[in-house]
Amino acid sequence: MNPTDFSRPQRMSRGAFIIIMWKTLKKLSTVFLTIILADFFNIDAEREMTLVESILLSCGICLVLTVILASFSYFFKKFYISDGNLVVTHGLIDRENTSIPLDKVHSLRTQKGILYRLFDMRGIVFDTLASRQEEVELILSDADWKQLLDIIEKEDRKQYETSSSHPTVTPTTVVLPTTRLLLAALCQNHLKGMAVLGSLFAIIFSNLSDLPDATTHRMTLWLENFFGSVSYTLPGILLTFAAGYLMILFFLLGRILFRYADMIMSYDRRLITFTYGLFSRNSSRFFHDKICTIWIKRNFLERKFGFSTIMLRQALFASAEKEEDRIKIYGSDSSGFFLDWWIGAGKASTPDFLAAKSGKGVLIISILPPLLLTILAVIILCHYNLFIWLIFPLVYLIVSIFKGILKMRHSQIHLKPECILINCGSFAFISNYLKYGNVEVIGLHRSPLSRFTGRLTLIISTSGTTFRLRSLPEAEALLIYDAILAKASGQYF
Amino acid sequence: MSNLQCDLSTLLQETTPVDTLTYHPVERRYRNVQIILTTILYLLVAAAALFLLLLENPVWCCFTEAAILIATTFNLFILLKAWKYKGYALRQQDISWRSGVIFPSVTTIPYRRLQQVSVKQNPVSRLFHLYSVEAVNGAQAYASLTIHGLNQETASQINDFLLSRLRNEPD
Repeated sequence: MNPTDFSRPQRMSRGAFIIIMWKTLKKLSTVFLTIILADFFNIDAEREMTLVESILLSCGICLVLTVILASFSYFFKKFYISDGNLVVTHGLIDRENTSIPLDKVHSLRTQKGILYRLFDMRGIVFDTLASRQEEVELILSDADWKQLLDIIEKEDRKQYETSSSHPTVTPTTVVLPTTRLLLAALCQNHLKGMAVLGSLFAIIFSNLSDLPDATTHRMTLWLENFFGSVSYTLPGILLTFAAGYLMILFFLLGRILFRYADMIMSYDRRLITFTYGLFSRNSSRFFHDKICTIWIKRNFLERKFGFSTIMLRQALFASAEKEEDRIKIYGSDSSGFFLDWWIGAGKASTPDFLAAKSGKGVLIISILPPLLLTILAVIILCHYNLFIWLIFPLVYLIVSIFKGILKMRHSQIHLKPECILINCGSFAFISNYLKYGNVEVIGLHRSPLSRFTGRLTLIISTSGTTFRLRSLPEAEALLIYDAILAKASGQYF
Repeated sequence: MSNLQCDLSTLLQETTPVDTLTYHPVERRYRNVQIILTTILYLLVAAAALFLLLLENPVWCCFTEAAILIATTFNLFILLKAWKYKGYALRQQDISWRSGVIFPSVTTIPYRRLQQVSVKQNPVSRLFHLYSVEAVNGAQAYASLTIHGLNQETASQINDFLLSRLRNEPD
């Protein structure tokens, strides 16, 4: 048997024990240091030992625990490669046997700190798309690492040879105008920002009690002088609201302009790259095969001006830089281009072969929390005789009902031969396009009321997005469930 | 595999519709494990209530113990119903798991989207010689599907089958 072909279960390289011990010691020492410090500052406690003795005892316990835990981690973790799978068995109390196909490994992260270098070791973390799963880390000698990498690369090559490669094409570059970006930024729903502003004021007011009485008194006097005459009148309330809105508008315009100004898009068949930013230039890359959803939003104003906000969402895995993967393309009229590029020319607009629409359940679920909040607010305001303020919960309830109705009307699923179209949104109409091959999991949830209403919830999740379609008719939902699975299985592509 | 349901020939007719799938129940021992664990938990809560309230307020203590007894009975009843409903089904292209009594749900993962497969055992399940198989995919929600309460042979069969499917091997 070749000792480094990883065909039989083996432990990590010997030096790994020292590194695991060091890592465990680092973790435990924080806990023990806290205990020692707490003991040190506890002057009132009656001590049976001197301080030096208790420190030495703590250090001793810490070291013994480190050796025990490190031994468990080292001696009860074995790995091997079998039939193209990396199999890791670990755990003494909770035993686990994890198999990862080598061709599913998305990225390999290696760690080589000072201690690793001292022992000629390397920490290797295997990233798969299972981003929520705890990553598998192996600590190997350089020789073992090279051997393992060689095996993984062979698997990769096999995979690459079997998959069809795209011919090289010169990238096309498009500049997205900043004036359009500004117009699009003005069309966004800035009222959402009011919630942020409100919570900011709530934090300030909740901390007012911590200020000295004289300061609070001076602030109250100043507010009464400037706003006393208008603060409890309807025009006063509206004026405050308008000032807040303008502040948010200004802030959001600046944010969008700083982040997305001078956006340049270059693309070929395999990749789209965006470069953007007014002062610091950022870039984001979207591979054709990593995109899992195209998100297109159109609100009333955007529809009027004939453009939309687009987001390309791609698979997220542990080492992915999530912030970079979420760029928004404001003021775009090229949704057709993105859909044609990703799904295929004209395929996103082909007729549906199955479709379903959500029912009143969406409206009820949507208005239930605002209704309860409104009732609570009305009771409190009436109790304190603040009748003029009742306008706020009532307006909130009316807007919530309107929002719920729109949500119900927009919530739809359409199955097309090449893609799934999921519509959602309330004031804005949002279309999500996903390919059948990107569906990772699909679920059907029933509620206790399902047997009376004949409605259920359909959940579709991809590697970067999750969709929950509530209150779908049972018969249609079951057909859609089976159709998506049949398509997602890959037999019908 | 004996429980493999495959009848694929056209788009919809080829797959057994998810609503008419035959789900394979989990081991009876798993139900016993759940009953024992739940009973122990409630006994601990009842003992704590007794310890905290008996001397302070005997009337409230009686009410609390009665409430805990009702909750235990209800929970055990739900557990028995839930055990009957729990089940898994393997088809040619996907794996499904059914669970829940009050909020029943079915979750399906196509094999081609699987990323990892694990066989797990915790101290309690080891005592009852039970295993669970966890199929992990890359989804944002429901990123793993765990089939609990399997015997060693079934767990190993399912693990091997999922691994073979994961690598697109023929039956």
